[in-house]
Amino acid sequence: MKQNDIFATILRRNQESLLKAIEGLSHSEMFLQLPGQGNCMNWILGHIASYRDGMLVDSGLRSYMRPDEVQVYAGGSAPIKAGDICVDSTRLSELLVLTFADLIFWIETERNGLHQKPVGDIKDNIGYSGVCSTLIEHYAQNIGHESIHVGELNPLRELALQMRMK
Amino acid sequence: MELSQIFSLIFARNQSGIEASYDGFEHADSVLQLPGRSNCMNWVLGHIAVYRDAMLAAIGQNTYMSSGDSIMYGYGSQPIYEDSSCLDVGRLIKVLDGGYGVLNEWLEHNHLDFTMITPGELYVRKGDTIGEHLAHLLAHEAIHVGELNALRELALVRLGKGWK
Repeated sequence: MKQNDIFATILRRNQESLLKAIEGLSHSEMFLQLPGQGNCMNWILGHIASYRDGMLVDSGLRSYMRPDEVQVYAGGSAPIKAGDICVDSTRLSELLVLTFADLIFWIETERNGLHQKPVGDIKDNIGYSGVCSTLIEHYAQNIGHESIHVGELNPLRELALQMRMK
Repeated sequence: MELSQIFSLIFARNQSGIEASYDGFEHADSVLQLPGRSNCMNWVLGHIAVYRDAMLAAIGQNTYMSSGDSIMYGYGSQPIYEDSSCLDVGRLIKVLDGGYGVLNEWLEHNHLDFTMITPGELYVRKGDTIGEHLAHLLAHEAIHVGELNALRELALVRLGKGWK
């Protein structure tokens, strides 16, 4: 087992849970809010996509999100409510499929790639880029971070399904 | 970064998320219910504890949860409501702290062999090697830790400390 195998296992689980959580939900259902200060699904999906973009850039791959899109979903960014400027949920779903495909391919084929120095992402400073000195650390931080946000989607899906029954 | 350091880092993230979720709450707060079929905090914490035991057992360490506890909090178990029989949240916190301490200490050992075959008699076995087993269970745990965030927000609202 190598570092790549840990990351591939966790990333695959994250993607599977993520797709299950958003399956069949509409753009408007992704703005529903639970009690308290939790974020809506749109924010969480954009946040995950933007941090994946940071991993892509640090790995020397192309990113998918524009800087203005990344800004909406950066760490500490404002919550998103219906009517706010944000990325359409259809595009977010596509971004999450594309970023997953590129990352999993790179992790599983570039067996020594993780031992490179990060390319870095000075321009956009996405996610953990610039914070971690090695690519492996960036992946470890980010994939652990992503799993927790994926878990946040489950109660939001339940809320959406509950609202449909009313 | 070694394999054990990656596991430690993700494991520490999870534990930190768990501790932040229940900080300042009492048992009654752990059985509050979100809309829909989400599980309450008590069930999620107990579920994490059962699966953490499956990590402990895989590396030959003592486990914390009884077989009855595993039935109560295992995969597919019944939801826990305010009037359900369940473990006190204080007990769950001790179990989670204890399991974390043991696993973390084990991960600090040098020359760990993550290609060791995972024992067969576990409550849940998620990979043929210890490394695969831990990777799957840490990811499973992290996703449940994420579910705790909304439950903490709910409890804060109930305590009058939330936004709405």
